[in-house]
Amino acid sequence: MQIEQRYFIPGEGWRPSTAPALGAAADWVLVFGSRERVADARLFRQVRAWYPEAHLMLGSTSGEILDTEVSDDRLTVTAVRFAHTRIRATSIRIDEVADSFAAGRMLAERLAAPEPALVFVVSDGHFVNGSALAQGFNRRLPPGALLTGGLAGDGVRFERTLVGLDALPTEGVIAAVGFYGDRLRVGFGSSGGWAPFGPVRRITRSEANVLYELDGRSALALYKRYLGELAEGLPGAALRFPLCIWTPDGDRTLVRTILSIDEENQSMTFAGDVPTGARARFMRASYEDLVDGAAYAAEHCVRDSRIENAELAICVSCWGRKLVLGQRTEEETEVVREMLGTQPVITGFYSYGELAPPESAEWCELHNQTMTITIMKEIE
Amino acid sequence: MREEANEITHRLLKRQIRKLLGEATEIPPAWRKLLRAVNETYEQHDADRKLLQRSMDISSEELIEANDRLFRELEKQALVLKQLNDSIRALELDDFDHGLLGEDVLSVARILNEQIALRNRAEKLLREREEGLRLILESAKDYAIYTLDPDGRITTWNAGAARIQGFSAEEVLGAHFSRFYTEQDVALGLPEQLFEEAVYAGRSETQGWRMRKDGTLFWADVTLTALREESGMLKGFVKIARDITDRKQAEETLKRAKAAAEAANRAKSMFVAHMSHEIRTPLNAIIGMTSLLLDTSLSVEQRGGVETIRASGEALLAIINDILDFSKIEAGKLALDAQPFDLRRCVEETLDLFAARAAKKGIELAYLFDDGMPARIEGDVTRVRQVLVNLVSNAVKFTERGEVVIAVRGQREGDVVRLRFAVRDTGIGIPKERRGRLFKAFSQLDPTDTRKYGGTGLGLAISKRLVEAMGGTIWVESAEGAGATFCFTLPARPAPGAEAAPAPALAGRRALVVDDSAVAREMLARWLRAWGMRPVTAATGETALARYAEEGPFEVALVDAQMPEMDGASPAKRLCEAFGATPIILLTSLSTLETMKNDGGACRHASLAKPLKRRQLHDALVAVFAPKPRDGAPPSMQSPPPEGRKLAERHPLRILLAEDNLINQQVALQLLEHLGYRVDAVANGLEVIEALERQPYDVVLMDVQMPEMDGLEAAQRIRRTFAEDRQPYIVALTANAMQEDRERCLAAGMDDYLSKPMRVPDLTRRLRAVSSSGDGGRPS
Repeated sequence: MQIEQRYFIPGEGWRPSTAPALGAAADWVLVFGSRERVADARLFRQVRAWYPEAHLMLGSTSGEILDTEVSDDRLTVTAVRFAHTRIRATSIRIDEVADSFAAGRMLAERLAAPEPALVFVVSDGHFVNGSALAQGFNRRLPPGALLTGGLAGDGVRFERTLVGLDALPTEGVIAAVGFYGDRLRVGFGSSGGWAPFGPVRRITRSEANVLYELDGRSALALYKRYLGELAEGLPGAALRFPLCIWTPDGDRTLVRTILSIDEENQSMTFAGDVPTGARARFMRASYEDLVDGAAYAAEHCVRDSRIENAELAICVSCWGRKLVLGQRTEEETEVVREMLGTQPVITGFYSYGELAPPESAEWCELHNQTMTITIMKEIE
Repeated sequence: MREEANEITHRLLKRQIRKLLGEATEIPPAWRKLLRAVNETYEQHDADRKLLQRSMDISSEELIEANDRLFRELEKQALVLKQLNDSIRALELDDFDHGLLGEDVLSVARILNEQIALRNRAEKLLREREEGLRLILESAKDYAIYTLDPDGRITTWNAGAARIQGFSAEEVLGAHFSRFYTEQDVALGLPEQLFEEAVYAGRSETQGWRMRKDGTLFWADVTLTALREESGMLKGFVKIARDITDRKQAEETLKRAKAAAEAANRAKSMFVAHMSHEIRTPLNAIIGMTSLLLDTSLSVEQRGGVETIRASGEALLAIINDILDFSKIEAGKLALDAQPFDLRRCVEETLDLFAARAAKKGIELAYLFDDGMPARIEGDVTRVRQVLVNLVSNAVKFTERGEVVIAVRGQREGDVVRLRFAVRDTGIGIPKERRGRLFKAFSQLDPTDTRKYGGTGLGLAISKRLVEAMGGTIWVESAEGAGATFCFTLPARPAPGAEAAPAPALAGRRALVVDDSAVAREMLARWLRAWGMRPVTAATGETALARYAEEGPFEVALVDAQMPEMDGASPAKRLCEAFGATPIILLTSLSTLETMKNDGGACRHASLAKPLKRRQLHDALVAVFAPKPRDGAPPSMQSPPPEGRKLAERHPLRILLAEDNLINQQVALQLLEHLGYRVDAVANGLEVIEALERQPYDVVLMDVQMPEMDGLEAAQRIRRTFAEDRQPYIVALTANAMQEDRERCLAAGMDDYLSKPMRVPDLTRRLRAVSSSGDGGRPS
């Protein structure tokens, strides 16, 4: 596997500015940047020109990760050339949020045979229902296939997220790449570091991923009470208190993070389903907790997959973490590097949601507020 | 620096910069950038800390609020729990363990739910039952069903009541129930009586006339039932009345019809009894007079005519007696005795009655008793014998050759013996289709039978009624042409008294029984075995000789005198010659007796007349083995008839027998005939007096209990009204062997008494005494 990286800083240009080494040999190119950068046709043409044969996978972010550096308005490019592994890329665009499940199922059907070692997904993060999307994939992917990825971000704006595959990114697109071949080893780790606190509440009114009431009272009002003067920063401020939700069977919890609010309807839209009747609890975290969480994810990634010296690591971290970590955000990428060692090339982005199996399960789920790491290595 | 001051917002940082760098200090641009980052870090840190602090405070507030709410809820819950528990207690559940009440709202709720479900079910059931009851009440058109309050005022009124009594509900609700009674009944206080009975007994039932709305009366069957609360307090009454006027009238009609029928039947029975008496009186005169005529010198022709008159008279008397008997039974006047009697003697005496007739026809008479039969039983010996006589009489009548056997078996059932009598003959048998009518009155098999065999056809009907009256059943088994067996059962209580033990002298003796009748052989063999003897049987003279040659000699031989001839001579004679010194007991019939006298020869030890009596045979055998008298002549056991006839010759007497029972009459007549007497018979005291008025009698054998006029009264009349020289010697015949009965007889003027059934030795003793006491008159 050969990998090369470069990035573009507005007003400064590409670094390094030299011509890429892989060129037409590259199979897969990951392009992450702010909404403005990934939608910049000039930059897109430049990347396409450099890597004419590769599948370009583009997504808007709430922050780009390149090695241990976290930036807010760059365009990062990571080009990969596999020695043994074949890839297939596909994408779909939906106009209705209700089609999220079907989209996941259709994409999975396109990639399911032969059995892929990994499917990596970058999806619209504002329009698409990530939970339904994950279920759609689960419906058709063979149990042995690992699915990871994330939902594109839009800084702290929550307006539009853009995704593209071999084209300028647009809204409502879901792009997926399947990796085939027995030489590829993959692993993943996903962890948050958040801790629940305060009373256990019950979701008394909700529709899909829209929450209206907790314990019969306005959820939005409750959030505002907790945030105090920070409430002006809604919806972003609400990321400081993600919601821990018990699954209907009651023995697992999921973390749900807020996407948007609607003052008129007194409602809050989350990045995944918030079913009526489910128990829920506020969560909080200090920066130390979150850094520990990222370390934990990386540690698991290595330990569970038994891959030493991975060649590529893709970090998808929730933008809520970045909000809490602030100037210390890079402490979580640094701790990931510490755990993974010096070998792997690290890329990634801050997202509106992460896709990965829950601990020790074979299906994929939408997560919020986690650091989710996917690692790859080709063996000889 | 003003710019920096604006850029640096955090107070701590501002202070630090002022203190450490001074206000006027020039800060290089790169440092200024650093300070801005530091400022942001300070601010963010503060915000973080504040937010954390705030979230902790708020969540702690929330938890306190939640805790308060929980406390309030718990208090409320405790209150609710208490109220629920109180509610459960208020339900007063019978089978509820109040220990189950407790802290747990869920369990209390569960209990309540269960109870509510139970009550709902019960209420539903109740509603359904009420609806059912209402429907029943409404549709019970033939019953007036209404309720009364405790004072007797009507509270509900059903459709049946409206229909029967003619009042609508509106008309009677609130009225007192006594308004349905007639003025007379009200005056008598009947409503109050009914009411009080229901109050005290819970219920009263009555029948009586009640008034309808239109004033007409109906006969009501009324039940008044008191309704009480659980506490016992009177709630009211339910009254159910039925109009049974029709039934009442039907009952009345029926009662009248029954009374009329019974009266008619009584009249008929009285008529029959009366007629019988009226016919018997002249008939007795006819018989009596013909008897007298026969004592005079008559030509052969005349004697034949008189004999026919007498025989016909006697036949007619028998018929009249049957009819009288039957009508007595029909009239329900049959009284059964329960005296101990000897069953074997009863059977033997019955057979005895037919000895002459059987001998004439050459029919063998025998009886078989099962082992283990009680010797004596309690019962009405006269009636048992009557049935047996009827059956044997028929059997002899319809049998031309062969045998008539009475077989008696007994089966113990607790302290009762179920006796089964079978009278078996070898006669003409009875066709199957006729058997059903056999036991009906006046139903001989064929109208021509009457002509051929005589009789009234009442015998079996009388037997059937007698057997049934004694608790048994009677039936016939027959195949046409192969004889008939009439059976009847009789439950009887064994009476104390065993048969006399066999004499030890008989034990182990070897005996040869020679008889061509298989039944007779079996009967004899059984008896001998019962006495401990060892019998060998032979059916013919030849066999007997062979047995004698093979197994002889025997200590005694019993030889039938009437076997088919051997080599032109009687087998008895041949056997006597062949057996030499072996003592022989000849078994004779009346008809052969005289010839046997000569035939038997010297070897005969005794002759016994058939039908054999067990005791007689026993005694004869004992005599055979008794030590020989000095003169060597064998002791001769004579049957009574030869000696008896001599009695009449030696002691001639004119005898009148007064006995209402036909069988007893026949028994007595036969006995007296055997003794050589010609006897006149009458059936009651009046007939006795009439007979005495016609001619003088030396002896009157007088049954004590007779219809019309009993023996006691007859004796008194005779003593009172007849001249001294016409006074007969009166012997009472009484079944009651009690001392006081005898005294009553003597007090009535009788001279002596005999216990029934009569026994030959008793009878001969009396007759000898009468005869020797004077010349035929009453002994002084």
